[in-house]
Amino acid sequence: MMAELPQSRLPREPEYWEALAGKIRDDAAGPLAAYAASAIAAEAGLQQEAWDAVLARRAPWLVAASAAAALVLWLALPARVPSQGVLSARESSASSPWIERSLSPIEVAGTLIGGAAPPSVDTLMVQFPPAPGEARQQ
Amino acid sequence: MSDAREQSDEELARAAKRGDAAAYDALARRYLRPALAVAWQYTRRIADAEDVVQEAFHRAVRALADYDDRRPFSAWFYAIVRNVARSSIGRDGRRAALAPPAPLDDEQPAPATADPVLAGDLERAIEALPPMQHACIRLCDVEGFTAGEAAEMLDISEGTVRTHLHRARQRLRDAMGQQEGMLP
Repeated sequence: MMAELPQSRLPREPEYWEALAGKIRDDAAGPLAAYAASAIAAEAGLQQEAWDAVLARRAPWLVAASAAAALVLWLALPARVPSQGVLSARESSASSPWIERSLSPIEVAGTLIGGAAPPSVDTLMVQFPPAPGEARQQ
Repeated sequence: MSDAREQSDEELARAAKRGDAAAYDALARRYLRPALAVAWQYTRRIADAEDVVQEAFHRAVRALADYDDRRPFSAWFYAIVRNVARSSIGRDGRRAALAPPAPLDDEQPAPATADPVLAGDLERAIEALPPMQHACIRLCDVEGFTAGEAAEMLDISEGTVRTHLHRARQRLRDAMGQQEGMLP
């Protein structure tokens, strides 16, 4: 039966198909260029993501190291503050004599509360002399 | 990159999505002839079918980013061809389905039968077939596509194609029954 059927009606000339393929190729040039550009951009994005991934993978160790460093710093800090004179006598006022005499607030309060008589103004002036700046203001 | 002829449609489409012009060109060449054959079933004019094919490729390359390359490229692409063809014939005020029989273009080759009278009768009998039977017999028996390929082109099952082919051949036998030795 097939030998008796009509021939294909599709064009047979190679030139016809070449021309049609050329038109389609030309029409696709713009979109394909855009795809290529976006593929390059996506690849760059993947590289960035890889860098982030490395950082994320090491994040627990970085956090642990930071915490350890903060802990060491915190432990070392109390010993360093007085020696570095962070609070100078000029900058502090009423509390400066306590620090200069190495008295804790409880010891200072004890001298006042444990005294036989209530502290007078003179006593307080002796115990807690005004800071130099305050004296000038008065 | 391996030879484009060895690559599957989906591999070529994946490469084209990355902007590989050679892959797209190979894919287009692979689908030019079947696309034109499908479009022709709708338009029935070669010039209109060419327009449909160009428009289908135009749309396909712009929609390529949305194509899921885990699915068959052929089904995706033929759907575009059919949609463009339906739109095309709808725009022209004709039917938005497979076109019914129409006179042959003058530019088309003559039938291959030795007897021009018989050839003309057979051509008319083919053109008188219902649209889907006509499409199946054209695609399979005339253009040489397999039933599976025709099924993808027409978006029907391979079994349905075979059924249409069987009925079409029976009709042709009936129509040409009077012609001695014409059909098996």
